[in-house]
Amino acid sequence: MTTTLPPPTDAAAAAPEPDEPAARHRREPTGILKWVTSSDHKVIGIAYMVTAFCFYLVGGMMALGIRGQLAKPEQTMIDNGTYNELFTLHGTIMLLFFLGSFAFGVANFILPLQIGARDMAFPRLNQTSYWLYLTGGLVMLSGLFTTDGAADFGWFAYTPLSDGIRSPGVGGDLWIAGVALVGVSGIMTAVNIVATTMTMRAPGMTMFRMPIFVWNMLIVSGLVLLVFPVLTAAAVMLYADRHFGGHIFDAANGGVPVLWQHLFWFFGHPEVYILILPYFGMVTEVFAAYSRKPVFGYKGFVFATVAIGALSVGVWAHHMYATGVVLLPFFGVLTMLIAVPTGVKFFNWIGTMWGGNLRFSASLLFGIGFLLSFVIGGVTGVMLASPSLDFHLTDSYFVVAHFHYVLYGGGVFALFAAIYYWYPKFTGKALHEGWGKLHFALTFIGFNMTFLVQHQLGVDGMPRRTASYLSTDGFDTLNLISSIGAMLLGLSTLPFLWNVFRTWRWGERVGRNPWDAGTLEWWAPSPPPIGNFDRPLPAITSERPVWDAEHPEHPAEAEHPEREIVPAEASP
Amino acid sequence: MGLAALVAGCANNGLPESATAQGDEVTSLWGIFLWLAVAVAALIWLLTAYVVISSMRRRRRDGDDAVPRQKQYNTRLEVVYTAIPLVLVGVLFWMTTAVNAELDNVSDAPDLTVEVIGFQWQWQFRYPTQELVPDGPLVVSGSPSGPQGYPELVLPVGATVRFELTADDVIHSFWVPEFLEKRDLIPGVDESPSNVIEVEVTRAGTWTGRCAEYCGLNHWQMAFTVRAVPADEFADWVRVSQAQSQPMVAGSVPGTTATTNPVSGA
Amino acid sequence: MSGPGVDARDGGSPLEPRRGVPTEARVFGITGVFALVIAVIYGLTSGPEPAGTVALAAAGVFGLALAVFFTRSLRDVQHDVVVAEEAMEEAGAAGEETDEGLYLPETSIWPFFMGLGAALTFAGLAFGLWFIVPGVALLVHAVVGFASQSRDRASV
Repeated sequence: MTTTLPPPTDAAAAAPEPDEPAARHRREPTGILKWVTSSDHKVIGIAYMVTAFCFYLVGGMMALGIRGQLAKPEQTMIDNGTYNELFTLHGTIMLLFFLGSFAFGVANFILPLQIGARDMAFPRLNQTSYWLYLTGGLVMLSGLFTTDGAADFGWFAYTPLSDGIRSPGVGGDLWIAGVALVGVSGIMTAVNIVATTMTMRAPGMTMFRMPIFVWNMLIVSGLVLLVFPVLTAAAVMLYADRHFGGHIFDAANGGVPVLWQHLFWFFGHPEVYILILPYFGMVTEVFAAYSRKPVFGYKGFVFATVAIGALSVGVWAHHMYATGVVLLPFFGVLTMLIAVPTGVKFFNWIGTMWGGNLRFSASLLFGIGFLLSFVIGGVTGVMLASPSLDFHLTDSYFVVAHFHYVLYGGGVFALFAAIYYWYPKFTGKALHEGWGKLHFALTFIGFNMTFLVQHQLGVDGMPRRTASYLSTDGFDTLNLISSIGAMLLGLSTLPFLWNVFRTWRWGERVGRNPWDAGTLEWWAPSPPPIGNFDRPLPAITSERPVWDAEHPEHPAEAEHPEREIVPAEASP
Repeated sequence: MGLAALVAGCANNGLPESATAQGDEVTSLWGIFLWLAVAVAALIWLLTAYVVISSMRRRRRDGDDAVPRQKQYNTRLEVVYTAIPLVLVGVLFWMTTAVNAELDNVSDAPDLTVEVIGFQWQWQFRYPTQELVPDGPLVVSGSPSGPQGYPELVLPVGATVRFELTADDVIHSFWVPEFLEKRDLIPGVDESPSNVIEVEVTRAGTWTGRCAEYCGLNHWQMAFTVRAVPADEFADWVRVSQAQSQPMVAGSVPGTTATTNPVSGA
Repeated sequence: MSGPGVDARDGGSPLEPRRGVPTEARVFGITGVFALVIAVIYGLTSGPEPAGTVALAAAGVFGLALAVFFTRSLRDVQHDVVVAEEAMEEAGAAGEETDEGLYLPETSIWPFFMGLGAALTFAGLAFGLWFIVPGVALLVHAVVGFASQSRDRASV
């Protein structure tokens, strides 16, 4: 790349005659060949989302196996070894192959549309990262079909447990291979997103007119570029230890086991924000659209996201308080500080809905479910940030409950909100509202039933990753409630799958902008053609140009009109 | 709200009843954090409920297509909702630092030192001053044998007890829920033991301790029984146990090398 | 649905400064400076613990490098945006530009084969040479194909 970047793709003047296709010099294949060869960002985006959702179903099945085993004490439905494989793969799939990858899928489809671009900056690199992601997942899962079984050392693979002596067998190597592949794939996508956001914005789309989702994906991509190489490097070191006598993490020969934890969590904690920040972005779009209002405190929201991104690189060792070898005050204070920008976001979301004309669609219900659930994950996060309390809570079911409230109550609720919101743009048809609401109700009840009681289990002394427990331990009742909730949560996926199917067969076509939303993707047809826009873009003078064009009588109110010309900048 | 309902009525705000002086500190800190957390969650739930209800009313009044006020910024409000969490977090951090000093405090001369050795998937407790390595079941595999099959950690009430935590194979974690704290046993940290904590046991009782760090195949069965007894009873137990078991071999300091640790390779 | 008229309600005023450090650079610069500051604090207070100190310092350098790059390169882009925006406003958004800037690449089978080759190669880390040899062969073939497809496009 030269130092002079090309001017942003011109979208305003692309379609002089309405009956002429926007991109004449491109033929698209159909059928299976389309999914294998197309470099169109929308095809790749949908492939990403469908693949990630399949991984979600696989990981969910594993979770049901785990909860089935724990429903009653002293069960032997699943033996210890298989149980350990299940929770290892459940964690790895959900964190590396589902939640983040689904966000990349949404970003692939929506982000170029939202900034008025024709495609991603590097379409074929985009294709490559999809195929590395898919094959990486399959390589990792192939361990299940080997005689040694899949990896069983937990998704954070602590040494020395994950070394060649304690975890021999190909399952561990396949896990490393899968992690390396998805790591490379993630780096490629992040490069693509940063380049697209920086260079392909339509005329007028300045940084502070980008939708919140684009902002969040930009920050996330920066974090990916920062920490995924650390993970890949650590995986290579682990492989060297397992096969070439590396002794890097081998205590018996002067290695340092804790080094793995430092490297892994330097990746692992920012990874949590890589997983959740895209969904913050999506749910923000949902709140704004269904409230028929602009995002409240837009700039504050952006600064809060930047602050979370910056703080996230300095908090990794709060996963390691109990090792006794980390600086407790340093990591304690930085971790607690993250609560401040996160709290700001909560008020932004509520402020966006405040006084709005709320349309209680399935999407908004999932958004509200997100608010109600994620706040619990947030406040328990502050409790865990305190080393004094963490010494009791860490590695217990309290932690399990906490991060499921963050990643499911935060991530997956927002994910479904985003699916219901953007489905018309993806396919041209809207999902059925009634089935969507049923889906929401089952999900909300099942989720809270599964995970709320796990807080108390952890406080009572149940460690995580236990394949069973004794009837004398006193964990029976709450585990049974949790398992019933998990089955309900599993069932809640069925109305959704049915909804997708029935919409595919019998769904009604909808127009460009069924929700009367404000961002640029709603200016394109549903679904958008190759090249995305079939008419000149509206003037971009705010972060919701479509709203400005369609409701010129209702612009966003300026707080201080005289000061809006040169607004407050990022702190120097 | 749900969390509040769950723990309301429970003593100690849901925590196990503390058995150590250090645990008492944690219990009071937990109460502050928990109820602040409940208050914050309740605030968000109430605000959301208000937004939802007021919007339903407004929609009924103004119709589905009404466009609300397009208000986007309120700088004063934004400053307030940034500053208040900042202050709260500062206070919480200050309080946690104070308790932390208590938890990490190690005295010059504890009343009793216990060497805690974790290995896949069992525990051994040694009393070097008493030259005592109590007999205990050393192998757990297959089906659970129940609490009576666990190795036993016997402690005197009222004494300051130091635990020296050592592991040779993989990482384990020493957790007695009634002590309200845990620490990892890490092989190969520069000097052995990898972690030292002290507790002052304040009441008699029998509890189950567990390995909290995932450590391989039979991780879930790696538990032990803690029995805190009055000081005179503890002295009796030491005398009886010394008679029953072989005394510690002189020079066999556990955890220094793999070969002198009788449990390594188990 | 109203037409794509341009009425610059805020007077067409830019919402971003055209001079000075572009916002793109600021985002990464702030992160980089922050990482460097805590790298120093962490390094001084932790001993220094090598892994975290190095990683934090690297994060700081990375952020600052991007900030410098964007400051140098994006001035032009920002300028282009301004020019294009002004031109568009003058032309009432019905600009007369052609498709010339619009380049959408052809479909390609090579990324698929790159994925396949990489997967075989990496699975070979576990399964041995029977996977690595065909994997590397496929990967190299796919990379060559990918690269020459790019060259063909460029020469058109």
